[in-house]
Amino acid sequence: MIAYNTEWLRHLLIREQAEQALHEKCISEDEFKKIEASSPVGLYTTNIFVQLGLFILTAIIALFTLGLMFLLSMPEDESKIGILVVFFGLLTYAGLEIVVTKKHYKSGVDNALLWIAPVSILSGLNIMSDITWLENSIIAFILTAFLFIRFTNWIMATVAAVAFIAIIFLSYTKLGEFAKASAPFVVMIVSAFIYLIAKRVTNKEKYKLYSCELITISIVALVCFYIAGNYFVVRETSIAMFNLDLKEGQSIPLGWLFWVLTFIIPVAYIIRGIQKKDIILLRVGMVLIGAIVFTVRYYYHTIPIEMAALIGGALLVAIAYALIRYLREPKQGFTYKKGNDPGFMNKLQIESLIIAETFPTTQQQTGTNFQFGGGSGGGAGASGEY
Amino acid sequence: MNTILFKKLRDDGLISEASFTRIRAVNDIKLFSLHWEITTILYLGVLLLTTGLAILVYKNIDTISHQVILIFIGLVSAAGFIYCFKRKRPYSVSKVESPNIVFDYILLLSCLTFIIFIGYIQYQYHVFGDQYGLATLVPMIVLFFCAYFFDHLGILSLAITNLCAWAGITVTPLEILKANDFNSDTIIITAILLGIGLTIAGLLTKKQQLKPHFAFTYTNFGMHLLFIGIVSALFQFEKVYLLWFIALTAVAFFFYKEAFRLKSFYMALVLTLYEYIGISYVVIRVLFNTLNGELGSVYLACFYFIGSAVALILFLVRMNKKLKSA
Repeated sequence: MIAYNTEWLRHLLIREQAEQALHEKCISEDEFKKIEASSPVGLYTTNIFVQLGLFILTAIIALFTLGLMFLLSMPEDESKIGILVVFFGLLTYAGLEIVVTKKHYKSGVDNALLWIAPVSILSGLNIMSDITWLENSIIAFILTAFLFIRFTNWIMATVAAVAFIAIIFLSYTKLGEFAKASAPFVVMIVSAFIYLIAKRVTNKEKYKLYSCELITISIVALVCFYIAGNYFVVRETSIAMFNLDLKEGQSIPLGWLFWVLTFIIPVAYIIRGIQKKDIILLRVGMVLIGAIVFTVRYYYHTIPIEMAALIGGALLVAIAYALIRYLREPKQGFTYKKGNDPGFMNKLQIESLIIAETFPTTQQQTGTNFQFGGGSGGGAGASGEY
Repeated sequence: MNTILFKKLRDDGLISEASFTRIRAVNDIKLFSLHWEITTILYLGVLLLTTGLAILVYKNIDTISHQVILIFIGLVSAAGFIYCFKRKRPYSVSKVESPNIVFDYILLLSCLTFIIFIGYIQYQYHVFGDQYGLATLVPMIVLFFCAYFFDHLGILSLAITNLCAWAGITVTPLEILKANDFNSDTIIITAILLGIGLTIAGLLTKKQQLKPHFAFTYTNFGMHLLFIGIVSALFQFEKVYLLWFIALTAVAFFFYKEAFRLKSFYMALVLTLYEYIGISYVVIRVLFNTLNGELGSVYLACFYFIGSAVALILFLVRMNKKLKSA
């Protein structure tokens, strides 16, 4: 089922583990070499920068191939354009299969084709005829789920999970008024199921090659579980999609319950994450704290933004300080020291770039930009422009 | 680490019994690191605090007395600096680890409030008169001093950005293309000169072993500035664009050598993409000039892009191989 040589993929995992063991000085250089020799990998994998370059170039090739196809065929009406784009999508898929037989694995070329194929097929179908949201979700789910299973790709896994939840939501709400009112709970139940299944399957030997994808699926499930119970989301979707007639400041039925859920879920994630030492739960919970702040501020402007920022900032610094104090000596298996895996972040010294990015030096503008993570070097920006 | 896997490796005789016991021991006492979480909270906290402070000042500039605000900002900055001076480890020309993670952020907070402070007194009291150059020069010197004295890469980035602001150009990575009007001749030349200067600074940093871990930051800023400057010059000075193309190629060649010397895939990618922009510009220009914009030139352009991208992929793949074995 997997397009790549699974033997090699397994060997990659072994090497990864061995590298970590070497890094922690558990095994000797000799042993590491022996392990490497016993688990050969014939896949062509590049490092992140070459991958980025190959990705961009593959996208350029695909784009101009599509342009050339347009020029040569000169389609007259929409349906012909749609057919052309779908055909192009199938062509990229064929290209992807060929590239994979050439042993490319996450080299940038296959990553790019993996994106372009489903996007072109889906947009081609949409150009061809009018497709409802539900039909779109179904097509997207089929495409991405297939690609996710065949190419073990986490982005496809994410899209597939979102599409699946969308299918449930869109088809369930068709059933009538009661269904519309109970939709949030159905989505929550489905998300919970997805999370539990993903969690259970993660450690199974059989699905080891999908471990990364299962993690992203469980993140999607956790986030969807929260979104479905979030007061802001429930209220605004009810108004936008089901024409619920609410006046400014008026609450939704069961409003209190959704307020409770808005607050409780992230906190519960964090507590559970700490209890279980589950980094995913912990981080998702931390990010969702932001959603609480947003939701509350959207409906209640009790304090002006700068005071909120000041108080929030002071609070965060205090929390961090307290945590560092508390964990000065590792307690209950927690530490604030860095983990033992030097990531790509350190290599690029990304932090220094983010600082230069988020704190503008022209004094008057201080506090207008809130851009995180845009720091992967100006090079990416310049080439993206192209 | 997966104990089952290593057990199998031990049974296969690939690792010794002692190694396996070590792995088990490490796994047993493995600590759960909250480093990322705590630094994120700290970073967000500092960001929110400075933002809130800046908005507060901006909104109340007419109501609270200026002295009060100034004193408050000054106090925050001074308190931070005092803390840093007290806690800092002795200066050394090589890398000095910061005493703890809070240190880095307090230093950042003090430097940022210092910048706000200077900006504020300039705006309100015109301390530096109309010499805006001086108003940016002072924070720049302080920032450079702090970067070296306390050994902080983030502050160094701020200092370099400030240097560029001082030279009449703001270079924060994302804003570089947005904020600046790259059509003005003087700005382009300034950018190129600054780029050269920073690149040389990077080389010297490495050579003199004066905080050698700063070299990457200098070279990175310098490289992008230089490339963006030259590419804009290529677009701007149309009459002599071939000359600029030669300059671009020369610079790309220089960084190509550097990439090999430093074994940097990142640099290799960056130089390839900038050079590709330059080559494509020249090819398309020549193509449309000779064919006078007929449909045939569009076809040829499509073929050029497909062909050149394929060639470039092959080039990158080869370079990847060479860099790996270099």
